[in-house]
Amino acid sequence: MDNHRHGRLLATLVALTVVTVGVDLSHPGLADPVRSGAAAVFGPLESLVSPADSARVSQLTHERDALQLDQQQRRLEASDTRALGDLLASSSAQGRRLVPARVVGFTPPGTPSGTRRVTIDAGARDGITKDLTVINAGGLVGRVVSVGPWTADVMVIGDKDLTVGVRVGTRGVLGSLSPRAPAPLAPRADGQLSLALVQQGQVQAGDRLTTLGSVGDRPFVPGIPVGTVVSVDPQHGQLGRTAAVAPSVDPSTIDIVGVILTGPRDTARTSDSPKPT
Amino acid sequence: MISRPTPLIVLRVVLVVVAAILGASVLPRPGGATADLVLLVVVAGALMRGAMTGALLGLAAGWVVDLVPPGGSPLGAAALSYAAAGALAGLTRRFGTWSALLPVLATALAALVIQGTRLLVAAASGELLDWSRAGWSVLLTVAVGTLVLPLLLMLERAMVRRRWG
Repeated sequence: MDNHRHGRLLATLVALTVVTVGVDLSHPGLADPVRSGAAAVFGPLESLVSPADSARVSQLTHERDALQLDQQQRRLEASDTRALGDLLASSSAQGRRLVPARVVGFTPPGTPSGTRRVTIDAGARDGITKDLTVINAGGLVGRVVSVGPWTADVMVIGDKDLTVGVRVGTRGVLGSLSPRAPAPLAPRADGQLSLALVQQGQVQAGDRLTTLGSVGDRPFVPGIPVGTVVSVDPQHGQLGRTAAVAPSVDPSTIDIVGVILTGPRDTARTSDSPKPT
Repeated sequence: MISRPTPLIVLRVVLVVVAAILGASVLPRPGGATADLVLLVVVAGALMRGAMTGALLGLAAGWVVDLVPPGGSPLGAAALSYAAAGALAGLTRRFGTWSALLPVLATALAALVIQGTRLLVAAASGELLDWSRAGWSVLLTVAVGTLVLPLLLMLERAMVRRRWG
């Protein structure tokens, strides 16, 4: 009989415990009042029993904080290293000499709308001069407009004064990219740019844009990805075909960039003629 | 047992609480492993009274272990594992002859159940399985048990002789 009563008691308590385990697994916060109640009872007993060793505790706390700081530093360094690796591995960087730099300043929100510049932490002493191309792993970021001894200012794509000559699509149709849509059309959506084709070329949504390049590779080297055509504008009286373009680089998130070092050509190009068959 | 708590039951509860607090704070931890004093109290009770008492005592002891800060997670898992260990220890009495080695065997089995459950819970939550800590815990518990368990059994028998439990 005793065993019988004990058996029922045991079964009830085991069932209650299993329910508690289930509740704690599914809703982890619910058991907290129970734990804090137990802590109120048992905590003072534990502190009574443990020897007070505050010097060791404070030393361990210092070590823990120092290690946490160190870990945060390493995480930042790791993400920087990854970004730099992506930049150097990107197609725009192949075969070119880059100065890697980081964005350290940007135009404040109060400036007249349309100005979009950032400051990077490489300058004249690092070999930067005016009118060099700035890229990141995604594509074209902009061009260098002013240079200080250790920093430089970059005009970022989307700035009202930045116009880039581009080639569109697989056939390489010539066009020019600027932020402002031509007169009869509505202003572009936030972040989008406006492509105007030179002469009557063909363009369709999804075509990729790359830089045309400039004389002496200043300010733009050829072949850097710039963006993708989002939609072609219907003819509303503008001269030539125009399209809306989404840039391949998000100007609000640029961090690690590379400045492509180019110089004027100093070797003459050799002439060539077809070989006799 | 339900009608009025005998002095022996009160003594067991006090021993469990003391053992839990000592185990959580003061005991030395070579390599993270401790000797499980609470388990020894449960095994002593189970060896004296059988599997049912062992299971009930283990359930109560496991709850105390879960609640004494910092406690275990999930809440109640230690209670179930100590209940199973207590029941197993009680069953060794039924299925084995009493000898000097039986308490050691019961302690070893109970400690294996506890550490095994802990490893299972760790595996289920995807943590690293600390086999060395589990093995050392079992060994330390058995080693301390060979010294402490006879004392606990003597205490229980003395209380029963004096009709206090």
